[in-house]
Amino acid sequence: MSTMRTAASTLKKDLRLEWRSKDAFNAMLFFALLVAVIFSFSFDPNAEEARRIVGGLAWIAFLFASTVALNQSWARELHGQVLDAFRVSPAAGNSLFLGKSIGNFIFVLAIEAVLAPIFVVFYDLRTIGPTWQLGLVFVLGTWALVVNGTFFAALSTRTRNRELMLPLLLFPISIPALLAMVNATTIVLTGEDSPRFWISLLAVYDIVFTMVGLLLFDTVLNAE
Amino acid sequence: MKPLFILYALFTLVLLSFGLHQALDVAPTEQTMGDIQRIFYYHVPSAWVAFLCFFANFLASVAFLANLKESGPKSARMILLALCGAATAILLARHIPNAAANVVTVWIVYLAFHFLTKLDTNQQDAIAVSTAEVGVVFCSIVLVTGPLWAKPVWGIWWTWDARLTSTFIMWLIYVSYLLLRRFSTADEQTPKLAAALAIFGFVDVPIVYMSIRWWRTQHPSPVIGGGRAPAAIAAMVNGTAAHALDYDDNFHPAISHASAVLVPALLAAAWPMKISGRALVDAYVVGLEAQAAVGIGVNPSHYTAGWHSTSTCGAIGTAAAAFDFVREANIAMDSGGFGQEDVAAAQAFLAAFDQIFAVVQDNDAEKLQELGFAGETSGLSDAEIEAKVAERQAARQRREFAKSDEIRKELAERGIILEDSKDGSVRWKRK
Repeated sequence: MSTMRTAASTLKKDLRLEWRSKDAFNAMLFFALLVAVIFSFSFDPNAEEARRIVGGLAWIAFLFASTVALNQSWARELHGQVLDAFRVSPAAGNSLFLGKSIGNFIFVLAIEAVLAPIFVVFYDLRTIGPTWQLGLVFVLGTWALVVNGTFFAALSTRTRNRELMLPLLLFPISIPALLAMVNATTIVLTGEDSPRFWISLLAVYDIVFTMVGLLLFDTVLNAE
Repeated sequence: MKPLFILYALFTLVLLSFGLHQALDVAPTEQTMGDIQRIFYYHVPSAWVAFLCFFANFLASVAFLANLKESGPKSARMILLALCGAATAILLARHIPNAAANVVTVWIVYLAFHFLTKLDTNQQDAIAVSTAEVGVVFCSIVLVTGPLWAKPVWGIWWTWDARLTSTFIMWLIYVSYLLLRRFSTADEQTPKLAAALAIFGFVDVPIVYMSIRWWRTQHPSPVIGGGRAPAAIAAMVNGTAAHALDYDDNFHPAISHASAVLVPALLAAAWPMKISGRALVDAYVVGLEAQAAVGIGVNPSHYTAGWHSTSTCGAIGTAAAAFDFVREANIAMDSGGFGQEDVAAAQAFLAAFDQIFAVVQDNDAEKLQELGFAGETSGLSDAEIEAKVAERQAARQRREFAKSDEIRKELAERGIILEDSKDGSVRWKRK
C-alpha cells in the first residue's frame, strides 16, 4: 500500500512541476511537430501512400520526442540531490519507478493526443480499419516506450554522456515494440488485415518489461 | 597462470590450424554451391559460440544479481531467479526436440548456474564481461561471413529474414551493453548496471525473434533469396512467370506457348535427376518436335474450335521431352553416375510432384466426390436451377461478384456446373 502511495505522490509532484513549467511538454511538442513537417517535405505522399508510411513516421516522431522528455525526467531529480534523499528514505525504489513511468506515460500520451490531429491534417488521413484499435495501439505502444525509457534514462544518468546514452540503450531493446506499433498502426489505417497479433505482442512486451523493470530498478537506483 | 595461458593458446592454435585443414582440404566440395560453401565451417561454429557466450553472459548476470545485497529483498531476487529459470526451460524445450537430450541440457544449464552462483560477484562480473566481448566478436564474424556466402548463392548480400534480422538486433543489444560498460562513470556501479541491461537484452531476444518472424511472413519474401524451392513449386513459379511474360501462342506448328510448359517442367525434373545441360537442351528439342507433330496433326481446327493448344499439345510434347530423360538416366546408370543411393531422392521428387498432379496415385473418383461432382446427387429440378442461375446473373449485373461466386459454389457442391460464355449468357449442365 505504501508503494502505491509513494508512487502516487511522485506522480503528483511530477505532474505539478510539469503543469507549472511545461518544459518537457513544449519541447516534445515542438520537436515532434518539426519531425512531422520535415517528413512531409521529404516524402510528399498522396493519400494512399500516406496511409502506408504515416504509422512509421508518427512513431519515429513520438520516439524521438519521448527521449527528449525521458532525459529530462531524471535530470530534474539530480538537482539538489533529490535522488540521494530518496535513496536514504525507507520508501521502495519501485514506487519511484512506477510513479515516474506513469508521469512520463501521461506526458507522451498528451503529446500524441495533440499531434494525432496534426498528422491527420498534414497527411490527409482517414482510417479504413476500426479506429478504436488505434487507441489500444497508442496506449500499449506508449507504455512500452515509456516503461523501458524511464528505466534506461535512470541507467544513463550514471554514465558520462547521459543524453547520448539513452537512445543507444533504449532503441535496440525497443525494436520488437516499435515493429509492433508501426505495423499495427499501418494495418488499422489501411484496413488490410487484423492487427491482433501485433496488439497482443505489445501487451506481452508491456507485461514482461514492466515486471523486469520493477524487479531490477532497486539495483540501478542503489548502484554506487 | 601465465604458463597455463601459453599452453592453452598453443592448444587453440593447433586446433584452429587442424580445423582450417579440415575445412579447406578434407571436406568435399559442395555440388551446387561450390567452394563458397566452405565458409559454413566458420559461419556456423561462430554462430554457436556467439549464442553460447550470450547465454553464459545472461546466466552470469543473473547469478551476479542474485548475490547482490542491493537487489532488494530476498523474495524479489528469488522471483527473478524463478522467472529466469522458467524462461530458460521454455526456451530449451522449444529448441531441442528430443526429450532425453532436453533433460540433459537442462541439467547442464542447472550445473553451470550452480557453479556460477558459488563464485563471488567479481568473478561473476568478469565472466559476464568477457562472454559479452567474445560473443560480440563471434557475432560480428557471423554477420560478415553470412553476406559473403549469400551474395554468390542467393544473389543478394542481405535479406531482412527472421534469422538474419534477429541476429543483427542481438548484436546491436550486446554492443549497447559494451557501450554502457565503457561510458559508466564509476567502476563500482558498472557491473550492476550492466547486469540489469543484460537481463533486459536476453529477455528481449525471443520477443525480437517472434516479432520478426511474424513480420516476414506478413510480407512477401524477396524473389531471389531464401534458398531453393522444391522442384514442383519451382516448376509452378517458372511456368507462371513464363505465361505472364511470354508472347502468346507464337510457336506456329502447334499454335502454342511452347517453352512456357516445356522449360519449367524440364528444369524441375533435371535438378533432382542430375541431368546435364546438354541432355536438357536435347530434351527441349524433343519436346518442341513432339508438340509440333501433334499440333500439325490436329490444327488449325483444334485451335479454332476453342482448345488451348498449350494445355493440350503442350502437355503431350512436354511428356515426350521428360521421357527423353529416361535415355539420359539409363546412360547415367550404366556409367555409375546414378546409383542406388540416388533412388530415394528421385522417389521423393516423384512423390512431391504427384502430390500436386496426382498422376501415379489414382484418386480422381475420391476428389470428384469431395468436390461434389459425383453423379446425380443434386436433387434440384431444372426450374430450381434456372432460378438460381437467374439470381446469379442479377447479382453479376449489380457487380456483386462475391455473391455470384457464392451461388456458383453452392451449385457446384450440388453437382451443377455453370459455364459463362462470351456474350454474357450462361449454360449449365449436370455433372
